[in-house]
Amino acid sequence: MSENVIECKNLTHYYGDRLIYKDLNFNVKQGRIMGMLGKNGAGKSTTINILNGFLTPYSGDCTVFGESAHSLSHSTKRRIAYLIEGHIQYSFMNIQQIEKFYSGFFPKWNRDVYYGLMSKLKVKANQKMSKMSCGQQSQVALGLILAQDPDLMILDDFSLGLDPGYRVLFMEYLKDFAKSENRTVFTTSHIIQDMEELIDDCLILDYGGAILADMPTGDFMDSFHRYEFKVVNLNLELQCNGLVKNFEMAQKTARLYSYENADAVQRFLKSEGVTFNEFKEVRMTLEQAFIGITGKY
Amino acid sequence: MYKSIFYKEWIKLRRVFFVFLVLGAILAISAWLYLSHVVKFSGAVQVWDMYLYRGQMFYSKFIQYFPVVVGLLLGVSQFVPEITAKRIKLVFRLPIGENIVILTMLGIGVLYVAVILGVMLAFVLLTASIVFPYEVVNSLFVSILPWMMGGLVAYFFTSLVILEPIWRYRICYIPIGFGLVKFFLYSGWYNAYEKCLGLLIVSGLVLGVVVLYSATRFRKGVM
Repeated sequence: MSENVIECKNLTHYYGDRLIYKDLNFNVKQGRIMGMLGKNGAGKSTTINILNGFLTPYSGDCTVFGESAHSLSHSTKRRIAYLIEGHIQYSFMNIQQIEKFYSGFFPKWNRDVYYGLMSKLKVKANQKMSKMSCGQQSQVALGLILAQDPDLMILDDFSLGLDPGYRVLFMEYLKDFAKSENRTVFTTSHIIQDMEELIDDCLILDYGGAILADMPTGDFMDSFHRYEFKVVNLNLELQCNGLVKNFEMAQKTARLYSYENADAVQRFLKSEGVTFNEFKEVRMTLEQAFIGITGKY
Repeated sequence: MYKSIFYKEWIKLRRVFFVFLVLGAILAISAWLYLSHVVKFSGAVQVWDMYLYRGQMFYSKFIQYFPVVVGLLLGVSQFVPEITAKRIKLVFRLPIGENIVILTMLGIGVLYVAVILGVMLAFVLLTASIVFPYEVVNSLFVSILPWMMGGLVAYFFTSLVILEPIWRYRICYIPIGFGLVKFFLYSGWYNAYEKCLGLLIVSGLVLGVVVLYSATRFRKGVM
């Protein structure tokens, strides 16, 4: 069994009186890519900030490589690479200067990896990062964290501001990195379509807490279902409960999301006196499943 | 690691450093030219009269406020790029103690301020020594040094205000910093701070540690 690289227990956080989440528990296993999904304001960046020691949680503990996230030792910090939302780096430096700066901190620094990636960019060696496009800046940020040769990458919304070409390139590098030498990635992204291609496990946050904690994405997609059926009553409303995770109407078609199988759902509908026909299960993408489990709003 | 931090700060500050270095030298030379002009056209008696009977600082209108401007703009140039887009998180993630890294950055800033002001002071004292005897030059040194310390205090308070994560705290720090800096610039008279020069130097340097308070609050995400 793999060891947990990240462990968060009973994490609770407020901003003023506003509860972000209560008793959030999750682990990230070694060698896995975990994606944290959630709507805006659900607490994704809060969690990333807590993991990096930039925020003290109201209560609960977070450990990274067995050390408290608030007081990581220097040797543990060397094992973790962190990508700030928007690929923030020192924009007043050029690609040579920034490489020279970071190389002084990391003994395993691999400048060949960095310059290999930089050779694909159409930028001059003395061009400042502030004069580069968002996509080019993202490649510099990626090159820096790859050159660090970390055991864990923490990425805060890596796809922000990237066009499809750069997003795909970023993910290809990320996948290769994670699958070589059993490395671990913890990431968020607002483009769930990207996450589907990338992640092994997912953690889904909604306002107030997790609705799905560190489950293999494949298991989630196999166990969570969307059923569609025609109804006569266009004003049909079904309350969310143990069986119904979400319900919505689109014209005459009803959509019901549930962890239960088709037979159980049909029995439930009959027991509720719902008249329906053309009942079928519809295969979902991760994005559709995410909307299904969290709701559109 | 320290070499890397020095390298980053150098890239950030080199332009403003050279501009102020040249500007400081120009101001010192301007003061010297003005002094020469007065000696030549009004006679040395005029200068001695200002020094002996009126106790007025000949150099005050040239250099009294320059150290504060240096401290303020160097602090802005050093720390505004760090807090823009919360970039200072990059520094806190480095495998080096958070307080150590901030103190190192401040130490580098102090060094730059000291070099700029030191070069200007050297120009002032060297040119003054052509006209004045040792006693007057020494008195000039003792009188100008508090202004230089005022520049350092301005640098520390600028850093403190910029790194502070909460606006209302920032607004509170500004009048405190202004008052303290003003205290170092209070007199344009010779030897005005002679009796408390040591205390001024120590208290000015100790203020640098206060910057850690804001930096730590920034790192902990205080809102």
